[in-house]
Amino acid sequence: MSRTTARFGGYALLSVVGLLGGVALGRPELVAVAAPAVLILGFGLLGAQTPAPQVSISADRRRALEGELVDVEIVITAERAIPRLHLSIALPAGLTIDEEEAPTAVRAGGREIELLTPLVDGEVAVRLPVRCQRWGAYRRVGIELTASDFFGLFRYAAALSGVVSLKVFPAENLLARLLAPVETQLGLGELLSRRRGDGLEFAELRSYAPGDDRRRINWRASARGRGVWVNEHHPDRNGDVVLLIDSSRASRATDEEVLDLAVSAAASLASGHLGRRDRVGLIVLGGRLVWIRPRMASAQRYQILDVLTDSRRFRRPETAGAIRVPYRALPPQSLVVGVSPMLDQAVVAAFGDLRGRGFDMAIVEIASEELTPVPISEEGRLARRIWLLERDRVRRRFARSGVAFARWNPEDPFDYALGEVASLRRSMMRSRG
Amino acid sequence: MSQAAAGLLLAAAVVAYPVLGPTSLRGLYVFIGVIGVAALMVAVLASVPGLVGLGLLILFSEFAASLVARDQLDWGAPLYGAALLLLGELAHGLAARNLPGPVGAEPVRTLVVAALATASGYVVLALVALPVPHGELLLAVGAGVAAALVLGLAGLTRARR
Repeated sequence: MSRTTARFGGYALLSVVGLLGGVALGRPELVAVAAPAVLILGFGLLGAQTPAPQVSISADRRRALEGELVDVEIVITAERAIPRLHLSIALPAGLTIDEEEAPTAVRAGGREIELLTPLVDGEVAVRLPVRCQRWGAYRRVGIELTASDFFGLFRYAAALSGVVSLKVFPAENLLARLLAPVETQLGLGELLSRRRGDGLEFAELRSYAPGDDRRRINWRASARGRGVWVNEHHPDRNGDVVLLIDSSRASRATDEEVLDLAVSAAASLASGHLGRRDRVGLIVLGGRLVWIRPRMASAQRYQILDVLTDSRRFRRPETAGAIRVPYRALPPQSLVVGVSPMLDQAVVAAFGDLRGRGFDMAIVEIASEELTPVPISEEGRLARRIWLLERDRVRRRFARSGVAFARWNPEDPFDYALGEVASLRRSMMRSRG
Repeated sequence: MSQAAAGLLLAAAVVAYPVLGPTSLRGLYVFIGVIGVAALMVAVLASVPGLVGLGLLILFSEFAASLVARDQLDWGAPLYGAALLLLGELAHGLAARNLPGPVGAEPVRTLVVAALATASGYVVLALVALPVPHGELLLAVGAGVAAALVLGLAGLTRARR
């Protein structure tokens, strides 16, 4: 609804006093002095109308990767022209307006702009080049709209909310190495099965048996005169990998940063394993339990990214009760890779439960203590030491139960922690024979 | 010239105009005028646009008081009115400069209205100055028109709400 401004009040006072005072005192000069105020009020009142504008927002695409530029168009329509329209557009955190291509100066860390524009022919469109700074699902864009008539006598203000459906996927890093499940599946892939069969990778020699393909005879070994030997190979197989992401809000100080790290690591792992033709699944713990069963198709990558992007929505302040990952979410013989700050006791217990159910597990712990400030007080430091000891105890418990466990310092690339887990798994497998 | 400097010059002119005529109450007029300008300055410096109307009214009352000492028509009144309007526009624009959104009136349209108002002010003064028979009747018509204008503006304002 339009409101009158202070200008309207001032001129109305001057008009009334001038006209009535002129008549009462019999001085036409007072009427002449008040005439400009009377005319402005008259023109303003005759011309002003409530604009009641509407807003619609659209992005040039629905999905983007972190760091990409997306064109967002904001269209404001009104039944009547608005001579002077002031827009204040605020984007949600995680999206920023590209300053170089912005139509006007950008403020609030790149999230807000103000624009003064007329709305002619009932429509005005503003194109915003928006940089996707952070992964996530974005919907609402806040728009504060202020309109004024030509003489500034009336002011229309409205806070509108435009809906834009934009999903920003986390950026994927190319990982130098990936983990290999202990047991492979029957699908063709890049993993070497421990079993013997058709494949390229040499496994061992064995004596020739009737029915063996003559092309597999190892002539060099057979020439030594101790019988006929044939080559055995490891078949090329794929594996089932289930990524387990902890989205719990156990530490308010660091939870956003930790979730960013977990999501980025999961996106990189999913992309790497799917590229290796593994079947990849996803479980998001810590709030609402969400899972995707392992599949191979490239569409699976987008499904995983979709769920990861929404993972912020699944979060709860605290995980209520024990988490029980359903059997159908985890195929037998799959490798479970957990990425977690290991702060939520329910999540730690869920990891222990999975190991207890015999799953091949690897855990990358996000070292959240590196992100929390060291307390100043003596009591605080003591509490921190106890907390660190407790975390150390949890790590040792997992290591004893045969889980490859590595800490990931957020300042280092994820590859470092993954490499450590891979080395641990190799040495564990060697020690088991 | 900056808006503030233009405003100060205009304010000085508006305060000085009423004391130019033959009067023994110059000190009083200047005092009223200075209070009016002070109100405008407070409005601008404290960003309180609501005070601008009060400042304009005080300046207007300085002009009205100066008319008491004059027997003849003041032909400068329409120009004084236009100057008062421009001063008000400058003060409103400066007082609301920190508020979000469009704050000032459109300058060209405001100047056109000021010119129109000056012309209509001269028409009013000319009608009053004309030596016509039954001048009382004309005065009554003028009073009626003024009352109709007040009522019309009130009606339009009510309709807008």
